[in-house]
Amino acid sequence: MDQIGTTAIWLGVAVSAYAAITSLVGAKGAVPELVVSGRRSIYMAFLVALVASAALLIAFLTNDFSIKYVANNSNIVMGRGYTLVAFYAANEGSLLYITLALALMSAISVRAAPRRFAGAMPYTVAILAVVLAFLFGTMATYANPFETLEIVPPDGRGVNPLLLHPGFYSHPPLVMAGLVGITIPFAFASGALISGEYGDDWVDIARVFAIIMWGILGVGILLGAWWAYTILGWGGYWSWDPIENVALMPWLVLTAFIHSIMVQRRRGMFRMWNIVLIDIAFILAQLGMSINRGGSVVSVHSFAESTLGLLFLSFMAISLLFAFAIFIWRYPRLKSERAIESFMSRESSFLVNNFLLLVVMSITLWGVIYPVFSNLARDVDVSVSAPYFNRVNGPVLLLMVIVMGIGPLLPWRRTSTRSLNRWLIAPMVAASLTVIVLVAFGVWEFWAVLGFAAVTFAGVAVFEEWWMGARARVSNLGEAPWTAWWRLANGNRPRHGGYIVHIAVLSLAIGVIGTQFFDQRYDAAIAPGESLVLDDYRLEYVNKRIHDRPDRLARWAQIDVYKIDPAQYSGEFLAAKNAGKQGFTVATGRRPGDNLVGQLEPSHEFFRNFNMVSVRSGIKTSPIEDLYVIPRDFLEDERVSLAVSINPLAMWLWIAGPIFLLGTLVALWPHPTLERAARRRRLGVTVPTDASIVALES
Amino acid sequence: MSATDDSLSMLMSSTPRPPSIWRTLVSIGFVAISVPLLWLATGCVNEDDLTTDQRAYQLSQQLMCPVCDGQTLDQSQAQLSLDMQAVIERKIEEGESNAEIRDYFVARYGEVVLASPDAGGFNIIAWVMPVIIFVGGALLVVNAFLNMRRNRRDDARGNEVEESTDSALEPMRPGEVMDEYLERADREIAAAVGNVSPRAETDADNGDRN
Repeated sequence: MDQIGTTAIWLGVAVSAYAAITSLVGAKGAVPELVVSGRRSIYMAFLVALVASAALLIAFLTNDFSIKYVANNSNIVMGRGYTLVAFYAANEGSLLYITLALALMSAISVRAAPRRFAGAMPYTVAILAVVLAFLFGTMATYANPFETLEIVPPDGRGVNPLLLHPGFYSHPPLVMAGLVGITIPFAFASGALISGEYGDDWVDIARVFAIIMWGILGVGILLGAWWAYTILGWGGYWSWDPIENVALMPWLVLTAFIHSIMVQRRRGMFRMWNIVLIDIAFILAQLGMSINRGGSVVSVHSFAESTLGLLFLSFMAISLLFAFAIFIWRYPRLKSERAIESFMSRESSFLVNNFLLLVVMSITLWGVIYPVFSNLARDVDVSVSAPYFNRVNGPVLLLMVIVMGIGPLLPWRRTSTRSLNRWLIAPMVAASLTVIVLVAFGVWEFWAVLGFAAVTFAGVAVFEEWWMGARARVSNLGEAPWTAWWRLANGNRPRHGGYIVHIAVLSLAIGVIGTQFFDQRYDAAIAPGESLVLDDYRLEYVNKRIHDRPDRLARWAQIDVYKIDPAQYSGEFLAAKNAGKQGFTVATGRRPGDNLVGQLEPSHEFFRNFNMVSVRSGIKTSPIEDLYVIPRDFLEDERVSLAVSINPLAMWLWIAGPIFLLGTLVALWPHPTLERAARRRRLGVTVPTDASIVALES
Repeated sequence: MSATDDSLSMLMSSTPRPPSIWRTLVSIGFVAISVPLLWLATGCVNEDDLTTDQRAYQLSQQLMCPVCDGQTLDQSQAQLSLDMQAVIERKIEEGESNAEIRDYFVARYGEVVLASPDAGGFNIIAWVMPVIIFVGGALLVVNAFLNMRRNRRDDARGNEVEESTDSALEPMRPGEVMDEYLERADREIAAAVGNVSPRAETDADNGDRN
């Protein structure tokens, strides 16, 4: 197997290098055969990546411990189901995985590219091929997953226990694929730029692939947050860890890109800016992959550390120079034809959106590099973690939510203050009511109140759009309300898909505000039969369950959850309050009003091979709040040390996921009439041209 | 609340009012006054108002676990992290302030134990930079916007035809034609009936596509 794999990887180097050279030579020398050959080599690159991956998979399945990577990341007792996980659990394998992902997506994008893009295609293919060649080459020389061991061990070491979970099937591969996939829109944009045929032809295909990568990355990030919260028992869902940040930053820039690309699509503006955005996204994705491979920053995700980081960093520097060079070279052709007409327009609201997204990105980048900077400048190590990012990014994110409410209300080109004001009434009234209601109910946290008001504002604005649009159809076309809404959304999928994503972001914002500002926590150790009381929950520790295996010691705490009548516990509550405690423990059993609402079984596992603890939280969830339990330790005296928290509105974080996916799919869904028109055009059937429309209009 | 009341009456009546910059100013003024008021009303939370547990929890979110990569104390199950949290609780009960407790850990483990750098000394850069980024970016955007406007005015002076053929320059996708017309017709009818959307207005004015 190792020979097949190594051969495939070297073949990959050769094929991608060939693709790059033939494409360029073919384009320069105007040899169409070479161009075609170069394009087809991309398919070949995918094929060899597939062969190499299959070889590694078979090696895992057959427990071929003569291969170092297999020996390090698998063992005989490991469930076969986790073979796929072990595949990308460490450096070499994950490199092969991203190569496969990029080769697959390159092949699809090359196949899907429209014919009118043919002039720029060789350059696009060449860029894709160079990146593929870099990945194959890195594997061939520095990180070969098929490196063999001279002494074959009888059993492997096994995979990192933190990764042994179904969640690992989804989060890491999605984030890795999303990051490496940004190469595709970058290649199309740069290809168009180099060829000099910098019309707007690349916009459609780059937009589609940018949205795909944005969706993959977004879902991957959300799944990571969900995984960390519900399963890994980290207590939180987002800690502004460097690895999380380097996935978030390209996502933010892609968000800016898919907004501003619409301006180019509709109005022919922002051409230069769009190129800059996709360049930044690509460079940041490289930075992400470099930091993923270990190096200069400390992270909870440092599963795969090596010097590869430096290699990726160098490639990033080269990409940066390349992007910068072609941008300067083609600068004269990048001038927009049109200018923004009014500040009160959709165009300018996109400009503001881009500005805010890039500010968050830049601040985050600054937070990521500041520790390195501090170390270099004065030899003092510092940490930059959640408290910093929350404080500096929080207000900007709040502004972004507000702009999300105003932006969609602005039409293209310009509007009058009067009509804008009229559209702002409902959102403003709703936001004011939110503030009044919250303050009346005793919610006094300034930023939280402001946040909820902003969310209401933006949410009402979207529903107002839908409501007014559907109502116009109902009254004029006599459609049923739902049909009217459905057709309205269908008429302009990019826009309405975008609105759905906005709703997802608002749902996310609700969850973030709830958990950040109103969470409660109480830690205590209790013996079996005792209970811990926090707010109106009583958690009774029933017993523990033990599973002692050669590789790990797993213990579960069996907990009964009761809702209590606080009046029955008034004495204890008062005592706890006087002692400055959030909660308290009680020894006695049931009191009147106690109501069993659920049972939880969080676990605590100690992995002997790795000297590592991994916990699984127990969660009782509802739309209002989550009760969240982590067994921190099982003590010698039979007590269990529990960390219990109440996380208000946490469920809304996860509701955002499916809505986000839905919105992305709606925005991407091909437009049937558009497709048909494109096919007609290819067949040479005349369709109404712009000129005839003008004639019709006048 | 005057702005919203006024707005409400506007929502009720369908009679068009003269366009007015005042309404915008009043809205902005409303926000500009109510937000700081809200801030004053809600006030800043004092550390004395919090219970021991709340303060301990806050501090555990502000300190890094020295032996775990990139985790704060409250997230970590490592023994050292549990011990440090016990120390925090003891020190709060002994009456030490948050700053004193932070200093204690900095003296033991170095600045790296703080989850976010203190805003003083060299670290002031960490906090000033975000402001520079925001203000610098805002200036760039405003500048770009003004430049575009100036260029546009110059163009308009030199070439008056541009405006009238603008919709012809707009690359219309052939497949969209029917849909666009349907949509536009809807909107124009809607506008005539009174359900005026800002888009519908401008669309009717200058034939833009939505």
